[in-house]
Amino acid sequence: MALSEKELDRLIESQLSKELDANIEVPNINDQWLKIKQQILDEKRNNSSIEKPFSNQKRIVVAATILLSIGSINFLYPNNASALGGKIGEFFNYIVGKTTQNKTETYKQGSAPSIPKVQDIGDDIEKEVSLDSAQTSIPFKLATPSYLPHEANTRRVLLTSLGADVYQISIEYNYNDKVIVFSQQNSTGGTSRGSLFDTDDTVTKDLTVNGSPANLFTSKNGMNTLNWQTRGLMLQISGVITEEEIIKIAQSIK
Amino acid sequence: MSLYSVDLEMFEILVNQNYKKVYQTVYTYTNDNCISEDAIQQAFVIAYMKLDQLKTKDKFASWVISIALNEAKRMLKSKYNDKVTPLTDLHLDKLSDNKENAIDLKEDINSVLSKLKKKETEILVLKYYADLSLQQIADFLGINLSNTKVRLHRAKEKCRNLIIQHQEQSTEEVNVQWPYLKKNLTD
Repeated sequence: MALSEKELDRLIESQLSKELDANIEVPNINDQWLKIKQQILDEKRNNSSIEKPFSNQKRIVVAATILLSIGSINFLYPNNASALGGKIGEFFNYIVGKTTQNKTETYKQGSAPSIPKVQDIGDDIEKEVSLDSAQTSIPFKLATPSYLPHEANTRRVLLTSLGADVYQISIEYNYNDKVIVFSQQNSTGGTSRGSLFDTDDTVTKDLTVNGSPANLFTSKNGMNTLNWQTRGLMLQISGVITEEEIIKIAQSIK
Repeated sequence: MSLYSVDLEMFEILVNQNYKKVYQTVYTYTNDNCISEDAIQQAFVIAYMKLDQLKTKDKFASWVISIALNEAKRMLKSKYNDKVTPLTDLHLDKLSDNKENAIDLKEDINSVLSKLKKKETEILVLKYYADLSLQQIADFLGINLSNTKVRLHRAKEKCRNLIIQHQEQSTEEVNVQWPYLKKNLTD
């Protein structure tokens, strides 16, 4: 009896299916799903805590402690400190490269900081929200652009809790098969933002947006990033978008 | 698709649709309920976390099977590494080839799988039931593509002979037990 290859394939497939069904008893799928679901939720919780192990405030404290320690050494043991400083310099040059520079902007609030209010946004440190629900979750008025390029449309809004009363909202827009990200972050007291860039492939420009100083970083891959502040918020627009358009969007944000 | 945009309810549907196939394939390899369940649980969690890496949705089952098989392999390896058995406790006489190599099948005279070796069953299940690509099978078995093709060809030929044999036996049974029916059918 001759069997064609196609017929044989079909026979093997059906025979295997029949025999595996008859011989291997499958455990209750609902029970298994509950275990899988529980593990997924645990993993999500773990990932959230791994992604943001330190709040911004903790980072500032750690950085300040290091600087203070170096300052103290410099004052007490100037010779040792200069040797140590040289070593630290060499180390940073090694990991970031000699052409890497840092541009820092600092924001200080006029009034004394009040006691931070803790708002619970649930288990997730970062979550996708609508603009309306983002507004109800944050203690400041959301900044939104009144101008966007014609082709741009909202992709999603992400709300990130960075610690007591400090939030970051990122609004992503689809634009010419790419994404423009507009992010804003409030501060409870004073905040500094440092931007690392490589002078080999990035050109920086100092600008003014609605009277506030702004930094524009233009990378050779076409990516533009604009940093500035308004109403005590640190704002940033980033994307493959022209300098004119990025400034136009920024100026429409009040 | 990001981690948070994958709806758990949608994923539950995918698990329900594919669990049986994944379980039966993995069990064929492990012959162990607990390891199969654990490996599959882990595989579905990994699949959920990396769903954006799946290129075509119709390959979901074979993708999860592939992950689950690798998890099962890892678990079996660590199980055997962790288990220290004194030499005196080993009942070597009981480790017959059949017991070790064949999956537990109910006694069925018509069973094709029971007449195949473990390696043959394994490769046929991976190809025809789990729908894995030859490359995926080769990667999992740790052999090169040519050897995979040769092994599959041999298993398929053996399966062909068994199926033909099985069909001829069935025809003979019809001849012996139902001669009039057979006669009428052939007329």
